[in-house]
Amino acid sequence: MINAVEVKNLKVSFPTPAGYSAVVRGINLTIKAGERVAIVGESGSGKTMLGLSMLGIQPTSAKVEGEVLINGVDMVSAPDSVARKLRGKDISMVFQEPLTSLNPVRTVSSQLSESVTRHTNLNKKDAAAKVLEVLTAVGIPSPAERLKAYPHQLSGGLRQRVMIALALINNPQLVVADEPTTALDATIQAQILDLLRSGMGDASLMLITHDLAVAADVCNRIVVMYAGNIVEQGPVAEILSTPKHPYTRGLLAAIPRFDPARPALNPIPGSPPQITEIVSGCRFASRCNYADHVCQAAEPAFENNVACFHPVIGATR
Amino acid sequence: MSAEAKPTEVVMPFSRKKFAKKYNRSPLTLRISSTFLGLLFIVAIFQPLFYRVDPFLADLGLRLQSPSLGGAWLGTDGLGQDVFSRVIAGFRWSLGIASVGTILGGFIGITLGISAAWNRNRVRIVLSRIIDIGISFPYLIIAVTIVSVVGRGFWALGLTLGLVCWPTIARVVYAETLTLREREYVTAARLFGVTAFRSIFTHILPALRPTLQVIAAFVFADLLIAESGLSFLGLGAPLGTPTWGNMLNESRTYLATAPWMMLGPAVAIVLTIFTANLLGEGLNAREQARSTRVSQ
Amino acid sequence: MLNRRGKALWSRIIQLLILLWSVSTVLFLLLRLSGDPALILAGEGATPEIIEAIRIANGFDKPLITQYFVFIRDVINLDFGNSLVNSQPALSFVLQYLPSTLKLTFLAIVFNTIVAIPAGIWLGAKPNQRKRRVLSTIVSVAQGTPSYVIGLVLIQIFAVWLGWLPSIANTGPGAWILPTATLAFALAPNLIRVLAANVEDTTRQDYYRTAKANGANPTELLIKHSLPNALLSATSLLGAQFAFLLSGALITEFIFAWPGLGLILVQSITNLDFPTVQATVFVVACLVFFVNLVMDQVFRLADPRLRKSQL
Repeated sequence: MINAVEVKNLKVSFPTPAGYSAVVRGINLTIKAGERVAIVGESGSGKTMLGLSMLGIQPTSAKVEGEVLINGVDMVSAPDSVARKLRGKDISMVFQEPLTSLNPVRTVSSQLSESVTRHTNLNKKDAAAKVLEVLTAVGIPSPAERLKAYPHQLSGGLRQRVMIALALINNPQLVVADEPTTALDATIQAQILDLLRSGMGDASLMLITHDLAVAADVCNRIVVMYAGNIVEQGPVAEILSTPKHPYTRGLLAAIPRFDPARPALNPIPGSPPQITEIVSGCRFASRCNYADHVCQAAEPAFENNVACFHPVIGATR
Repeated sequence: MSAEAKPTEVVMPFSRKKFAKKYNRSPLTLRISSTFLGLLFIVAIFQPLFYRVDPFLADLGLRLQSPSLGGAWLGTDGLGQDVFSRVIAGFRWSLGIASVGTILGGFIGITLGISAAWNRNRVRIVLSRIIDIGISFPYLIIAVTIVSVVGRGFWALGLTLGLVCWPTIARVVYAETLTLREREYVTAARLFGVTAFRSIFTHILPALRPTLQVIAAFVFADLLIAESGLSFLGLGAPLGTPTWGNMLNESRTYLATAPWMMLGPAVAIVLTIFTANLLGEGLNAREQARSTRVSQ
Repeated sequence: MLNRRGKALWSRIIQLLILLWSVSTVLFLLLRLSGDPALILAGEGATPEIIEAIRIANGFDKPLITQYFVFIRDVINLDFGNSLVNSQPALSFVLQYLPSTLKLTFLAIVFNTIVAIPAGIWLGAKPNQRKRRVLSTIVSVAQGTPSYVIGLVLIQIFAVWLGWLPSIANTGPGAWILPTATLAFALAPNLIRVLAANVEDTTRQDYYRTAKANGANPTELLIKHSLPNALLSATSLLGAQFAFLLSGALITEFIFAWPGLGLILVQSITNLDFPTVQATVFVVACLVFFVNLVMDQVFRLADPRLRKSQL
């Protein structure tokens, strides 16, 4: 099997009064064809910036280093004229806010067919057929009637289905979905998660979320990010049953569940470091129960799927 | 929005240190424009100090002289009066009338805007309609019509401009108050039985202040244009008064023979208007910077 | 649907009636409260007998409220009295000059649009380039330049120094150029700045990012995604610009002796010809109302969010 994407030592930094500060601090990540990977972390962990920079659509002030290989093209070093041929065709993205992410003054069909005609040789008629096909595939009821609709005329769930249709329309090998259900009602969320789990065709999925439950529901593999680094990764079952990094354990403990044996939530104390903050050693140390002088002195390397000097052994419960 | 965001007005004695700190933190445009506008006001107030000769001194033997460093810096007009001194004298009229107009228009606009936003149903519909009509009506045509009746003195013109400029202020105040009124702390005050009047004075007006500063600067600039425009049409300051509009009007007769006559007043108007607009933009930039700082 | 449209039409008509009624009332009050109208109508140097005759002829000896009803009745009959200068009925006298003002303003709008739309788009597309920054500073200075300064400078350059163009109306087709240019230059900076700000704003929107994520090139981004939204929000400005345009027309017509509503208004005020003043303001009020009505409809048709409800 080939890989959908290979990310090598990706760094994203922003200019601040005190020089460049990194938001993504050297990420290595390979997503295989057909794999569904969840990137889990709190807000500010750099997961959204990771997604944007993989497509090369990060804010213009950002500085990106490293490699993002898709179909042999490095999205970081390739000129925009090359990289944009891949965007929407080999890699695409679904955003959090479906209402604002669709152009309010253009119809659904015009936005979808624009992407088809841009990347293929299909004529208008075939493109229209393709649009109808993909709208049916993402589960939009009576799609033919919705072609001429404007985004504001659709419900939130339908809009997000249109966004997913837009991401899938050119059969990409990777779809990056950034918190695709956060802005939706709970019942609609479940439907969209179903679609992401089993309606994606051959495309691999990189699901960016802050919600471990959503990640476990949809994906095969979980990657945990903290303050710009990957701190742990592994198959869903392993991460849920035997998390090694204290941060992952903390995340799991913070999930509310119906369990009389565990009376209260266990939030992780403190907050992640600011991007401008200079931290020597492990960036989680100040919030970690297991931290000692080693953790203060050096930054742990990522080995055996975890970046920790004191990985925890054994099950959570 | 947490309780912290509530703008609490703390009355502070004037402190030079604080002022200097505030000044140094402001955007560059704001610093330049406020300093420069301050200088212009000083010129307007102490104008006799800046005259080269009496602006009313007519000497037909010296009429239509071209500008020269040794003689009249900006030349002389058709009556032999010194254009430079008359431009200086024009500051008092322009800045004075625009100030009076802005204050009066601000008073009307704030009152109407808040009343429209605070009331519901009929009152709001009627008042906001009035504001809409006021905005869509050409201001100069209203001004010209009012001036034809109230006359052409300093205060009459200030009154006229005040009656012309309120709709812009009212609309901004209306929109802003509508959102402020739904803020938690205002709703809470209402639930606790705080009277509308008190709520407006303790919550709404202080919160409106930054917006009002910005809009006042822009309205001030518009009124400078309007004031000179009325004079230019021959409907503003009494003929012979040294105002920029009058001077421009007089210069029309001498476009071919004495083109320099319009130079002084034209530059003075454009410069002053630009400074006021720059002040507005600077205040706006400071407000934007402040609101992004708060939200981060 | 028809019902709703009918309702909207009714509310518009009522608005117009209220507008005209309030304008008339204000005009009535302005004239009557400012002093003795007979004295104003008679003009300077009139003998007491003439003033008394005018007072009785115009009914100024009757109580104010009676005068008001008579005045309103006359307004309803579109009778503003005769011009004191040439004794024509004031309204038809004023209406003769309406086409001339409309032509001037229309040309100015066309000229303004041709200049301002490309300029605004160009400035907004890459706002941080140095040369564009310099240009937008120039535009903001230009925005503060009053139309009378622009007009005088244009006359000075093109009529006096170069002698290319006439500076007075009705002297051939060339006479249109300077007044139109004056009016358009007074109008353009505002539109340029709004458009540039709108275009710049669209580049920060989520849909712009979506288009980018789907491989749109810079031209597609600008034409298909920025422009429809930026132009749409600029349309809402055009109605407000019309009021500003009429103020500019007043000045422009005065500078170029252009026979239009503005010139008539200034002249009739200088001559204390109140029937003509009233008729002019009345005509302007109607004009503003109808232009705003049309702009509202245009905006409604152009913006899909206002066109249809939820499917």
